[in-house]
Amino acid sequence: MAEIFKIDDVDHSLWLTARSTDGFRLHWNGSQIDIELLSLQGFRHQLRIGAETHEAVIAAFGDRLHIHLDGEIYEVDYADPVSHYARTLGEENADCVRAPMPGTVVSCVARAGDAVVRGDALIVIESMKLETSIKAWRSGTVETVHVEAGCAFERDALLVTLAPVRKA
Amino acid sequence: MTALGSIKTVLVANRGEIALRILGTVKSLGLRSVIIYHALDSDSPAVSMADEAVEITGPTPVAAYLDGEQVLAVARKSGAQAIHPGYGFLSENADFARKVEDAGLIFIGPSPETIELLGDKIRARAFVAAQGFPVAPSAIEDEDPTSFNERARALGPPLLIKPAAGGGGKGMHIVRDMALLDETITRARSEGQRYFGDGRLYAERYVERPRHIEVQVLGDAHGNIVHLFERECSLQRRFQKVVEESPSPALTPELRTRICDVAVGIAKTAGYRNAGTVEFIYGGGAFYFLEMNTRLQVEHRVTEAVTGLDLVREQLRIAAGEPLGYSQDAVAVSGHAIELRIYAEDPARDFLPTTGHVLVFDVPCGEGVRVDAGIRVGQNITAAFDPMLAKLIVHGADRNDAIEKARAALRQFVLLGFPTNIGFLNRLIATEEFRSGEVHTGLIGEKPDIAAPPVPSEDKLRAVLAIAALSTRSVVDAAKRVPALHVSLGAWRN
Repeated sequence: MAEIFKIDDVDHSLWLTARSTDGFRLHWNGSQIDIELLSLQGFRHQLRIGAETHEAVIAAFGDRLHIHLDGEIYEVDYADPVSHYARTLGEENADCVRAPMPGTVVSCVARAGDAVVRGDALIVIESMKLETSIKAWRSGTVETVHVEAGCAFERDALLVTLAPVRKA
Repeated sequence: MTALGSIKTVLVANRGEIALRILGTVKSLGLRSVIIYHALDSDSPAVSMADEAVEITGPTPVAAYLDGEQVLAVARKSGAQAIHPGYGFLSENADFARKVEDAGLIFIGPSPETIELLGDKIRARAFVAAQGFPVAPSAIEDEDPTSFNERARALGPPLLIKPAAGGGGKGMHIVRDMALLDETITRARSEGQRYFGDGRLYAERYVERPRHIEVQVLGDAHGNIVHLFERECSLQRRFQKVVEESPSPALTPELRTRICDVAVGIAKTAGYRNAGTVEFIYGGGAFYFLEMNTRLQVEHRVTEAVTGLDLVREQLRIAAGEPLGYSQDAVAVSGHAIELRIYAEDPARDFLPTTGHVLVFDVPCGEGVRVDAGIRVGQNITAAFDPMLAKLIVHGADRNDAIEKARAALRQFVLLGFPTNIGFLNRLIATEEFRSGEVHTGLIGEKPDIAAPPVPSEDKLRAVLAIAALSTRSVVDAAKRVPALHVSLGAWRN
């Protein structure tokens, strides 16, 4: 069965088969190639791919792999098919806004219960030197402001939730 | 235990790479060291290196390092005679320097009066201009707050709006469209108020495609001033330096002499004591005084590499009252040095800071290659502090040699766990503009094509996916479970 790896939000579908000798065969993008990964020292590995070899540094954190290859870093997420589907569905009817970057809250303009029009500032955030307003992405009622002035947040932290729109 | 004058114990009131850097010299001089730290930094390399470490607290981690009273209390209790503030935090705080002196201790820096004079950009500019040194045309809010917007408008675009008490590019904005002037002033004032507790502003003519060139000076308590030549720091993003080098590729020998002489003149007139940096904007053949930083700079390593001097040692000697002991003629430059700042940030996302755990930290080494860093594997990098994590400094026989060394070292520099600017730095110094030395402070903004890594070739992508697949247990296990017969059948499908 195909496995899905994400790099920069692009899905790559591949699968491996075991060779009778050492190593595996990579099936990707309509072609196959023999591959093998040897552990060198610590996080350092040697990849053998076809007739080539590359040195790489590999570290895993959760489902994310951090790979240093030829001076560039690649962050690769493994998405098993089930959670992959769940995530795609979740994005379409979002009622909340998440932090685009880590930072701190400068001020909260909107409060729970406020009626807002698309484009109204909800909160003002700051990251290092940039002050940015998080604006209402649609008109509606503010359900929850999840942060308060002065508090720090990480990327993807929940900031503001608008009440779900009821279908008439 | 040795002593430098009356100094036997030095308190380092900073964190990260600069704390470690200062501790290195304090130890090499045989002096005892004390460091303050916030709980977030409790297992940082600097804390383990110091002879004594004392925890400080605050409503935020940064507030703890800014709390002069706590720092003073630690100094008294630990028996330190001198406090080294590093850069940032309390390093240019005249009130703190005064309190240190009042407590009978030594502030490793200039006198509080000098900090007050030079730390306030407006007063510093006025002082420098009054001495006949060159400054850019400007409008100063303080002179008449009610007419500030009008006077700024009269200077014409492009304009640079800056907080009077600012530094490090915080709260600075370029105005090209004067219709946005009022709005920009309001925002800059709010940012100045928040970062520096001071909303006063000034506006100055913005020199298009300017170069940032600064001169390192050293002044002792006996009135001796020397310069340690210049550093070019034109490569900046969001008004913060990214790459610094010495010598500057822009200066002719005549221009170098002039700019260094002006810097020495300014320091002399100010009665400057300590290591300090006079910053200039250079463009169209003219240079203007920008500001003077009355502290050790992040990029001081570049000057150390080419002059062979240890600037922290010089600071300590000066603070202990020793004379410099050498004249200008004794300071010479050898080769070329480049510093590259490693930031936890994503160049492809407008250089916004990134966070995460340090999973792998493996730095390059070799002749002429140095890494200053204050991080360790496992450390959680948060948005609580500045995103600069490390500095790579290379020293080569000439500029091309230094660039080649930097390129090789950046390729070997492994810092995994979150996006960093390491790959970006390597693309930046490979550009024709950098190689030819034709740099200016807006260059990075003009090169959005190098912000993101190049789209990997199919072969590169295949290699990355191969590594990913082979490093994912469930994928490998799934492959192993398929009987050999099906493998051979599988091969037929393509």
